[in-house]
Amino acid sequence: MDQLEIKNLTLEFGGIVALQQVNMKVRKEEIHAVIGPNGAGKTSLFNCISGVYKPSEGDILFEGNSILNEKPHQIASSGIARTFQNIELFRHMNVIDNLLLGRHHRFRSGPLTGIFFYGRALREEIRHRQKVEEVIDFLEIEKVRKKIVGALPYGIQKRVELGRALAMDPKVLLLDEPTSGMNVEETEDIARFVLDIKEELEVTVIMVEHDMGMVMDIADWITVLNFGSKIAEGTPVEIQADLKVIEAYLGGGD
Amino acid sequence: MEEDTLPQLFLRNVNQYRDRVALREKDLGIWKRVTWGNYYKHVRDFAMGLKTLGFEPGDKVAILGDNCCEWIYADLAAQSLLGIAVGIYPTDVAGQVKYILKNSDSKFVVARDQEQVDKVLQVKDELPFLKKVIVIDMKGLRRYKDPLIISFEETEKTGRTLHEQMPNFFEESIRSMRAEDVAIIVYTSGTTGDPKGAMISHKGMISMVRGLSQILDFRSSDSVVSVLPLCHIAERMFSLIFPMYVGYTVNFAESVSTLQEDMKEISPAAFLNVPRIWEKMHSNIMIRMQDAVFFKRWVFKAMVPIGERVSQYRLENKPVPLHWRFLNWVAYLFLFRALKNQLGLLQTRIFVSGAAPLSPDLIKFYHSVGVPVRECYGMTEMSGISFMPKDHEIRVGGVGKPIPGVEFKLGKDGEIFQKGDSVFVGYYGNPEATKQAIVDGWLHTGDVGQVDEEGILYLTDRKKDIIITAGGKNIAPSEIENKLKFSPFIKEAIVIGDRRKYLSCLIQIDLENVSNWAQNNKIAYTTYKSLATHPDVNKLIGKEVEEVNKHFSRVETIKKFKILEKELDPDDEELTATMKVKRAVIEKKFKDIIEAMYR
Repeated sequence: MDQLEIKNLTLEFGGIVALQQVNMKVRKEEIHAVIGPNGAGKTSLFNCISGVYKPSEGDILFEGNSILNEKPHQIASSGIARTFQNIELFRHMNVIDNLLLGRHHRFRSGPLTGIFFYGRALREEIRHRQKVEEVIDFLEIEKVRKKIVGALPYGIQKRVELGRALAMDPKVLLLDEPTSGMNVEETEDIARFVLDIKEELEVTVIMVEHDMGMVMDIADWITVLNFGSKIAEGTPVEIQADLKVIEAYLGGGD
Repeated sequence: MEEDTLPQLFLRNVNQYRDRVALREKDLGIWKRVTWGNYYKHVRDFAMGLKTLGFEPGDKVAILGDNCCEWIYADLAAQSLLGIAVGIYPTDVAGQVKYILKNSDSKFVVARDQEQVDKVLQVKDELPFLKKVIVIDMKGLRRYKDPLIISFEETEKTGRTLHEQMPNFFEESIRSMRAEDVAIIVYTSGTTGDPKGAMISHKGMISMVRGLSQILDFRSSDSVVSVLPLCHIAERMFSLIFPMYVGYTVNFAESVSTLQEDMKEISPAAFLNVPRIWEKMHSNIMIRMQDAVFFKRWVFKAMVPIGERVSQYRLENKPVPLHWRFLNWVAYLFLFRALKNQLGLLQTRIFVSGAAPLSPDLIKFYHSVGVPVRECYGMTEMSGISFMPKDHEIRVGGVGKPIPGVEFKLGKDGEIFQKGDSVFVGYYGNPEATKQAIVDGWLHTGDVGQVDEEGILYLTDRKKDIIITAGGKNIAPSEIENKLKFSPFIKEAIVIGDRRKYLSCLIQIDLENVSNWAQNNKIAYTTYKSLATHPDVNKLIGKEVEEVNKHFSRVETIKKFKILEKELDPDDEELTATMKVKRAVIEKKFKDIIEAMYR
């Protein structure tokens, strides 16, 4: 079954059409890359899925149910987590607290029990901390677990942001340019983590990415957008040979 | 039962301590404990698991990966089945791994994680003996289809089933062991040529630990953190041999990168490390002091000389006058206590440096701040340590007297010969090299040293490293190199001058400290290379070299030096896995640069 299905999605800002009749199907446990030149509508697509923008037409089905009318926090709770193109962490908190925030929507105890930190509040804290530690272990950021996020190198901050999304226990993970601004080694690390996320954690990954080397290496399926429309989709091999894609990236020959 | 072998000692400890903690490993941020009883179950199950996979007495198990509990389980399990454990450096590249697996005829490999498994799979076609790769952490490997792969957990599980069928086999196997059996093969880091596999017997290890424990006071209530790679004989000694003999607790850090933090939480009873790490700890302190606020810098400047004075009394075995003792106590409250805590050494009683000479200035510094580090002399071929100073024998530059059970003598050219039960059995598959190393029971160490009137040994250098200048003067390069490396800006120095008119030196700058200096002095740079070629950096290093030259006679001064434009790396074969310089490789690789200094 398709885990996420996007049907005839159209998004307009006044006169500008950001997305036009986009159709896309994401299968369970695949790495689905969305590529395209600048301004093609990739991030807008993510914002529609995570509920930040309301599309003017079309539908988004998550495990068969429409999520179009749900609020961003409801979508997040139902199992769609995301990271951002520019890091959006709480810079003055440490790594553990940032990751614990990824689990905030699962805390059930109220402020009163929290003050006494006894019974359910304590048990919950331990359970969530355990999960956070598993994510820390997974992403190999043990060394910085108690460091303030703002003081960490850029590449590590990106990893922490990925960690916060993973801490949410997502079924689908939206990664918006996970390797932007990274050097070759950091990019390779992230590529390995993305593969492990798919295989070990069995999470579906949808990513917007500009590093074509990485996309062609690890993606199972690629959707290409240009000026808000889908111009191609297929396996990396098919996409590399697609004339429309080459034209979109290198400019037309006419 | 006489306990002549490590597994026999292990059984004794299990019966004696059962519910006491034998191992700790930090996992998911929490120290997980393993009692002696559970330790036993893991070793037994894994050993029986190996048996189900077709393990026979005399087979070798190679262990590849960072230190962890399973490393030790596999090690003891192989030995318990009359097999041999072979450690491989986790930093070795695929080619080096292949060399050792092939050279040692290993049938089984225990690999820690995906990274290590990939190295083995890359070269498996050239390893016809290989039967199984047993993987400790299966993360990222679940989709690998290779039939060679089996998980550590799975192996233990099948082992448990076999144990239920043959409940006496494991302990009987251990009882049938003999002290002369080879227990482990340790590959020497090989500063010259290919690594050689030194076979070490139970007798060798136990006679070494018996002698050494008369000098180092270990207690069964102690805790030690495993810091060096376990395939190195020094760490094997502290994480396996000593705990079997004494029964103390071994702690494994969460990962190599968190070692410093984890050390602080445990504060081990003993800390043994190589000079490179002692140097790094010192330069970290110095850099942090430079960046500290005025008051802290003042405290540091005022307190260290007090410690220096007191440590001088102690090193000369003179009583410390009362007022100095009081001042030292004040300095301890203000500085030394915090400093030791920072280093994770607050509770530590035994500080040891080995594997290479430590700079005298560093020794003095550590003694002044209340870290009385002692230098020892050991080598793989002596099953670990053979010279260790007692408390009153600690001298700057001296490595003390031989441990009980070891005899030594000096050859005509000063070469050190050693004899005793702890001398190794021989190099695996290389009788030629064995014949050269052991003559009439005397081990030819290839190290040159002197003995003072008290009988304390002072090491000069490796025999083949001694420089004979064109003028006929013998010079030990390590002495000069260590003086240079004491500078926080210099990470590595290689003195050159054999059969040449004067001495010259290749220098690798310390990237962290020099870039810090560059930032403070507003010098723009991008990479190591741009920093290394910057004229101001050259001037900075020039000053450091001049400073060092003042301490030496004219023939021993460095006339020319050159900063290397790349960092030395074990992957490029310039350093051994323990970060020792491979002189021959470097002299060949940087031939043009060296020749240019003599033009």
